[in-house]
Amino acid sequence: MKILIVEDEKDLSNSITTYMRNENFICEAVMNYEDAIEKLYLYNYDVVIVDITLPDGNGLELIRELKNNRSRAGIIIISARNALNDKINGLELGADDYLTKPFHLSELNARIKSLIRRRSFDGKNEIVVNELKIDFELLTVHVNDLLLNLTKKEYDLLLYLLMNKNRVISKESIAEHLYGDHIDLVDSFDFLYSHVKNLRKKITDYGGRDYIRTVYGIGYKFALP
Amino acid sequence: MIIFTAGGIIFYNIVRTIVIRQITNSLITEKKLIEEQILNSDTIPDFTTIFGHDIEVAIFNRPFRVTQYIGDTIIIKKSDAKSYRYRYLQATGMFRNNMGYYRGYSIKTYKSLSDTQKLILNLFIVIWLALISMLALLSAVNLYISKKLWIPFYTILSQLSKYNINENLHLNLTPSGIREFDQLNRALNAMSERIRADFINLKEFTEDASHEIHTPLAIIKSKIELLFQSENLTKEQLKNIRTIYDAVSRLARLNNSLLLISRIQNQQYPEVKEVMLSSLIEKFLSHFEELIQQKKITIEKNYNVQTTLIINPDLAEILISNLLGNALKHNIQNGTLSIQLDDHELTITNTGKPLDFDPHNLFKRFRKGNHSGDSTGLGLSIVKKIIDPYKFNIEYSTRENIHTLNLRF
Repeated sequence: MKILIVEDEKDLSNSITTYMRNENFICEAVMNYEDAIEKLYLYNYDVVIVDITLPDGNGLELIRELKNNRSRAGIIIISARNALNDKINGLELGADDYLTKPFHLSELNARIKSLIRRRSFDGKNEIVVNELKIDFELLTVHVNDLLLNLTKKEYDLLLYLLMNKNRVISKESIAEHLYGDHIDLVDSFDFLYSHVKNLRKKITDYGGRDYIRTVYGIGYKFALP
Repeated sequence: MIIFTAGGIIFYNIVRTIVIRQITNSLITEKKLIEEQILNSDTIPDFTTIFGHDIEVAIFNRPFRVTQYIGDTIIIKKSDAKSYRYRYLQATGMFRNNMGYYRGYSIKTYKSLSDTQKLILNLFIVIWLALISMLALLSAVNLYISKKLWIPFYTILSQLSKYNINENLHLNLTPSGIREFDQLNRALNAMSERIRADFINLKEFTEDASHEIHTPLAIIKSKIELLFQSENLTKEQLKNIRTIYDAVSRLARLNNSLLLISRIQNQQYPEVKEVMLSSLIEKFLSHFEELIQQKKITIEKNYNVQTTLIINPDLAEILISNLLGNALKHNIQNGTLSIQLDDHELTITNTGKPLDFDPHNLFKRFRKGNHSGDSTGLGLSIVKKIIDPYKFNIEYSTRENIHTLNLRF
């Protein structure tokens, strides 16, 4: 999977590249509109991550260009301007997702994976991790072929952890993923704990292994050996 | 009025003095006439026919010293038994008649003061009435003119008091056609334009600054997330990273909330729709389901399902989620949350610890209790900012650890 990152902030671009390389994506980063156009003409990418404000152009133009060339790349906008118009314009032009800075790398990763999943037309809409089987179409989870009775949030939580497997994910990132970021809920961490506890219990009750590790003070990690 | 009264008294006295002097003079003249008569003819003239008032004249066979005395007296008339004020002159003198004898005489003439007093009083009343009516006329004319003259002033005043810089309109005072007021208009228009430009500039600055802060925050956040992934961190290092991360997250939340407030103030949510409140409340109750279960909160609902609100849909979501989130966040274990929705009213009542600050500050920025942790303290301030342009009203009341927020629309 190849990803192009168009972001003029070098440090942020580096962070994204580092994180995504660890997910075994092939990452390339450019810092301006001109370079991005050049790369897009030369190579094919599966996902393009675009910052809207670029020093020599507008990210929205880049999206228009991609769509004009009938590119099949998935597009995720990352923008500091959390303006409704930008979001609507971007999505109308054909972008697949929109993230506002500052975002969690784990969130970006989950969005990229979900985008790739939606775009892959090989009919594969489930992932199997040892005894776990997750069906994206039906939103169900099986353990050892037994159907788990999960709430919507527990399902989302498991999927988010799995998308960022072997990664430490902060509690904030999970809370924001589950509850949205305009909610100023401090208590959310407390019941995040009980969420995770319930999820663990449901999986182990059906004979699954306990994959979820608590990382002291920070968050959780879905550990696959 | 005081001046008029004082003036009246002074005027009265002056006139009175003049009249009295006049009377005195005429008394003296009379006396001289009588004296002349006596000196020439040695007889008592019949003066009553001449002067028409009381004169007492007597001639004696012995001389008198020459004296003259003028004074006031009161005489009771027999005809109507009333007393009258008189001024009188009493004089004595002596002469030699043509036969060579020295003779004396005494003259006493009176003049009534009552008549003149009446005259003065009448005069006074006439003048007083004339003055008063003149004054009344003058003030009426004055009032009329000033009223007409001040019309443009009051127009400006009402336009100024209606002007609200938050409504993002130009002041545009209407020209009055009067030079001075038009000058005032121009000055005020120019001033309001400057203030408006500064205000807009400031608002834009807030928004731009918020946007600019997003990027460095994103960098910090992403770097910390990468740090988390390091395998060989000590517990102490993890704790420090954790603290930094918390602070950055809080800063990001704060920045987002401030940006939201500044956007609402900049009227960047113009489009409105009819929003069904009950379904919105249901949506967020299910959104907060786990939190409700966690705290074992009992929900009491009493809806008018049909209640709608004409509002921006995005703001409606933020409004309801903030109100419900607030009622849940500050709730206690095993508490209750009651939601009452009528045609023009939404009342949210929740159990919770007592406020440890003045309830008047509840809707102000950064106002939060001691047990609110790292909450931004902007939630209810955002609520207030959302409802203000729609002219809705929100009120807080509390009774025995029960907190009520009442939103009327």
